[in-house]
Amino acid sequence: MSVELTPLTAEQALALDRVAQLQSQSQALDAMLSVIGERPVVERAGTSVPIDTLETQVQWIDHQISVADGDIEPGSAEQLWRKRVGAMNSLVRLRYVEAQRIDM
Amino acid sequence: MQSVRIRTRAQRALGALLASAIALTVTTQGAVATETQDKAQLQQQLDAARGRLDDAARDVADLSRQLYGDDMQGMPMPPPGGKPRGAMLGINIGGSPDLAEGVEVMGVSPSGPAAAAGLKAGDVIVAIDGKPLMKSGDRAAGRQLIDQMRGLQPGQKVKVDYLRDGKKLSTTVTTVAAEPPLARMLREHVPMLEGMQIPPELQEMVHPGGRGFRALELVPITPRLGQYFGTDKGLLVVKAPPVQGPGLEEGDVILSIDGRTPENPRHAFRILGSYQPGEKVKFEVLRQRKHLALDVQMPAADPLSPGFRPDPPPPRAPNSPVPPAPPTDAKGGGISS
Repeated sequence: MSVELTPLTAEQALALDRVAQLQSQSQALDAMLSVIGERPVVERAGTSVPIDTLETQVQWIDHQISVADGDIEPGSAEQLWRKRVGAMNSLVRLRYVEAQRIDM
Repeated sequence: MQSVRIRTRAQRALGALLASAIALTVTTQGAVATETQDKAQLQQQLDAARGRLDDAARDVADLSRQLYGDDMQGMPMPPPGGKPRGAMLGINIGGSPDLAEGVEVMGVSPSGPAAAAGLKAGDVIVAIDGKPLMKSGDRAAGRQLIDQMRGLQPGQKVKVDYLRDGKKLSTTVTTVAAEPPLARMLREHVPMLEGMQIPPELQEMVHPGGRGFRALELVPITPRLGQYFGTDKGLLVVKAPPVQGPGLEEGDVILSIDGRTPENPRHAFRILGSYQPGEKVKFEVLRQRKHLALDVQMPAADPLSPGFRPDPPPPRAPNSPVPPAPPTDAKGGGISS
């Protein structure tokens, strides 16, 4: 994406560093989710609804990140990526528990 | 400060979630090992554990939403009339490298349209509906992709050409509306509120009600199941929660809910989530191959876990002393007789 060649403040540079860390965490969580595999064929409302809610959140956050990419302050980008990591973290845990239940 | 409190609650809920999962496993193992125990009692314990798991799962989702949010602030809401602005593919291109041709997919949203179409992180999208994505001066290819998406309608099928491991591939992605989760929930659940701004204190309303149906388990009708049940569509009820009066039964095939055809179990749960306790829900079902209309009253809460709040996990038992290891010979092998 386009890169602005304007000098960054120290705070912005630190935020960019944190964004890079969050991007790595996000990719790691994506990989963990793919290991869990497909959703079970039989879906239970009690777990399916929260998972569906989190997936929708991640989808919207991804859209926000994509639209904003390169056009927002590093601090705002950090906030978006932090939200993604948080939502993905919850999603991975729920999907893991859901998968465990099916294996019983 | 509030954030810290929410985080603490979230951590407790996650603890309870994992504890419930462990409890489920332990309960099941116990059921297998002890044949003389009352199976009904074990089933009750298992159902209660499942109820706790459901509660904890809901808490995790609610608290995550509070922490990480639907985040409507500062984001465009659908304009009056309920039409969302543009569409999404369900990909993340944030931080993608500035390529001369194409846009690298940095992430694929779980269960999103792109994931369903087989796109993966690392793929490079080179064209949308035949229009190439090329860098033009200062204008990055990623910006062109976003602009193209703004012009698409939700539900539109788009041809996506992409590169994977140097090979050019194509797939078709069915887009979804570019709108916050809350807007989608409102659009799907409460059509008369389309396009309206919802005050924060009312936002809880759109979060799943219908808690009495948490134990409901559904599976989509497959062609083989369809032969047996006499239909090629619908959702098979694998487990039905008990309700007062007429209700769903295991083996029913749900064809519609208040006139709406659920596309899959998640869609059915979202529809049911819009009802408040005590409201009537009209189901059209197939029961033993006969069409039936059921007026079901939405239960107040899951009868398996009335008013349950997750407890903290019990304290760990002290470690018992470890017996000494058997003596071994000089080669590291065991004692031979």
